[in-house]
Amino acid sequence: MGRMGEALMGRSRALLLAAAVLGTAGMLLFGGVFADSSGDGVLRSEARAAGDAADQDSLNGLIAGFSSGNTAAYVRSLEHRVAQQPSDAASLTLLGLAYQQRARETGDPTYYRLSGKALGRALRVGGGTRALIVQGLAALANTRHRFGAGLALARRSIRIDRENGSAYGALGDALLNLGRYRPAFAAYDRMAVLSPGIASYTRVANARELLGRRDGAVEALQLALEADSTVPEQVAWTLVQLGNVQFNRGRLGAAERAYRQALRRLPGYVHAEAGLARVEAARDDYGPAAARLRHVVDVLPIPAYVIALGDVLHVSGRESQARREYGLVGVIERLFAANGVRTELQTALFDLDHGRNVNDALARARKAYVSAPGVYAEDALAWGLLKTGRCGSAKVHSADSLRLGTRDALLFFHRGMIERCLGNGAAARVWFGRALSLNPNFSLLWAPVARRALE
Amino acid sequence: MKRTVLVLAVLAALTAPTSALGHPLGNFTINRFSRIESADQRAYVLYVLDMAEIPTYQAGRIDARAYARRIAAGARLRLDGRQVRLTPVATALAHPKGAGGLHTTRLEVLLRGPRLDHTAHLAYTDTNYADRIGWKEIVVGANTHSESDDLRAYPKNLLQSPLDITSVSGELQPTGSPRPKLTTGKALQAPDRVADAGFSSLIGRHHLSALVILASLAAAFFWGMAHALSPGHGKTIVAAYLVGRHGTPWHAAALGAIVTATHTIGVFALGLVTLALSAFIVPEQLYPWLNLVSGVLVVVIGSAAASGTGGATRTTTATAITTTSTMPRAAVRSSPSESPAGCCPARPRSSSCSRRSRCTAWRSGCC
Repeated sequence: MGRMGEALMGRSRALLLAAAVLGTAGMLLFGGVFADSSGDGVLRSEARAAGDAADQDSLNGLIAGFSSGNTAAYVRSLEHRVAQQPSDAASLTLLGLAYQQRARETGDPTYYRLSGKALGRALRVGGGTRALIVQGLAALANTRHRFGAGLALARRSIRIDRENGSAYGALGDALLNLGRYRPAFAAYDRMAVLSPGIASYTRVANARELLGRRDGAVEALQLALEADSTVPEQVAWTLVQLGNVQFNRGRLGAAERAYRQALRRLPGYVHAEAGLARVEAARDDYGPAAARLRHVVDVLPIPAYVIALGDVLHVSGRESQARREYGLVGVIERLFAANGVRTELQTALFDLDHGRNVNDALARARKAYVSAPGVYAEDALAWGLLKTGRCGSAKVHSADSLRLGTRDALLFFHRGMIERCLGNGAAARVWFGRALSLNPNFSLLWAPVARRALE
Repeated sequence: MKRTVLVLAVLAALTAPTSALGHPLGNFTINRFSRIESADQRAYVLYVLDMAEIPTYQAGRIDARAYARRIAAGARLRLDGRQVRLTPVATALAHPKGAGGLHTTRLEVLLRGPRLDHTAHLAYTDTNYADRIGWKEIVVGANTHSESDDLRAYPKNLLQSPLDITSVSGELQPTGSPRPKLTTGKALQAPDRVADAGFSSLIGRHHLSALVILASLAAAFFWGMAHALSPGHGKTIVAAYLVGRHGTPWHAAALGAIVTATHTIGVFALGLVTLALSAFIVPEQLYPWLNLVSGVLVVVIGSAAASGTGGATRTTTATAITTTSTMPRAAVRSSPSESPAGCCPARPRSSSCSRRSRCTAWRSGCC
């Protein structure tokens, strides 16, 4: 071997190292890790301006499509356009957003999957308004209850375009569900400033209701209605929200008027029908309420409505039918589990209310609370702790769930039951009284319990 | 203006946090299919009803004949402008397994229409389950292709809303072909409804027998081997290393086991990291960074390997290459104290040569 071999080896080693360093540098520079794929500086703003003009027209088309009341036809035309030109990012974006609207109108979750696909493809294809695509993805993540991802995506959308009001809406929704209320309200405020309209005012109304300011909530909803949206589903949804707020204050007449108005705006709107059924049940009209809820459950069997139907059947004495509906809740739980959804609150509360699988329900409530610590998740946790005998910790969580000042009769009732468990009879009666004076029809199952306790 | 338009455009997430609009993901559809055809000089309608888990539960025990009668009433066929009567003549009912250990329903009904003696203009409307979501498809003709294969396999890879066809019109020619047959036996179970493809249905089962597990392990073993034979698994490096170290089959097996373990652990670790971070960071953002980290790791390890154990490795390799025929196995097994020609110590069994002095001694031309 000798010295020459040694020298050769040394040189080879140096070459090897140099190649490695150059390779890494090349990868970093051209591999796009640090580069923003939408281009830099001047190029980016130019591209955005060009994209803006094109998007403005298509966005106008989107609104027109929704306003016609035949979103299905509009979606079909977009699908056709996308099939002809698979790389048309603008159409893909609109299709993704239109699918979300279809999902809201029909309740068919297939459309969420399709929306994710369309938006994902739009992102991959490049071009188009990235802020809009990313914000659409944020909204989708929120709808699927993946609030962490929704938060990250909303933030990204805001970084791309700071004046995008809807991105603040998605941001606020994610923060709200994650229990970070103050930042959420700040985001909603910003949204209301940047893009005043039905979407921002309904969110503000929701925030006000959480803070216990019911008059303010009604005011915001009325402002939302005055914004005169041309999309029927939006108006109907806002009217249903109004009905719900009024119902929660015990104003049955106002609630009924709002629900009927929603049905006039969008005939057959399932959420309005459900609200109307609730009003009927509150007036002891159990027959019509059950019939209406049965139709609702046929069209959209979400836990809240199935439970409502079961409760109506139960209090009207139709026990076997009630058991069948409660069985359906169990079926829905199994489907949730099969689909990997383990943090659904309605079914957890149902199990706790009826003393079924109490420990599992507590675990689910706890998981829901840990992943998204909002006030309702915390209240569900408190209820679960009560049902498993831990009244001390239940009280801590119940008190915490009322920290925003929310005026919700069910939360007050849970607190009253916890006080009763701890032996504070007088305090319990105070809470029961508060619940009933707030909304005497807060629960078909539990309002009678509260009333009996006050006798 | 653009802001307002943007706001109006993105309508999602108006859901109030308190209304948990959590829905059982697609399990409440009622899917309908009609095939209008002519056979035996008559008009026939083959109707297929596919109910998902929740409607199946809600229906309870299904009386096929009663359902058939109701379907016949809801399927409105007009030939040459005249409403004709459809009579159910055959039914087939099965309850294929669905998600969550629940069952779905597949009901096939053959509806017989009037005699056809000339080509008639037809107008067909399906009014059954009008307010329920689901796939609604109508085809005309015995051999016309069905996008969902008669509700057996719904296409999942297209950007396309579920079909929503509730009425068609066309022409119907009388033919003498035999009466359409309903599906029987296993085919009626239509397994594709739940899984995307045959493969995922294999792993979507609830009860795995020992045989299935063993077969799956064997298949995994086979495919793992095939996978390792594909480019990029360091076969060249491992082979060179084994040759250089005069590795025995046991060395190779041990090396294989180590690589398997580290490879698998690495994949799982990567997956867990991505999963944990995906709640806060979007995966698309994460992937470039993961690639960067792995690339840098490879470079670092490579440089360390190149520079660190340098001398002895290269010498040994050089020695192996130039003197394979004269480097007997005895030299490997002999102890360091024995030295052929009393010059260089025999190469030790251990491969690491951390002290340069020993390596230099070898290279100074003794052997």
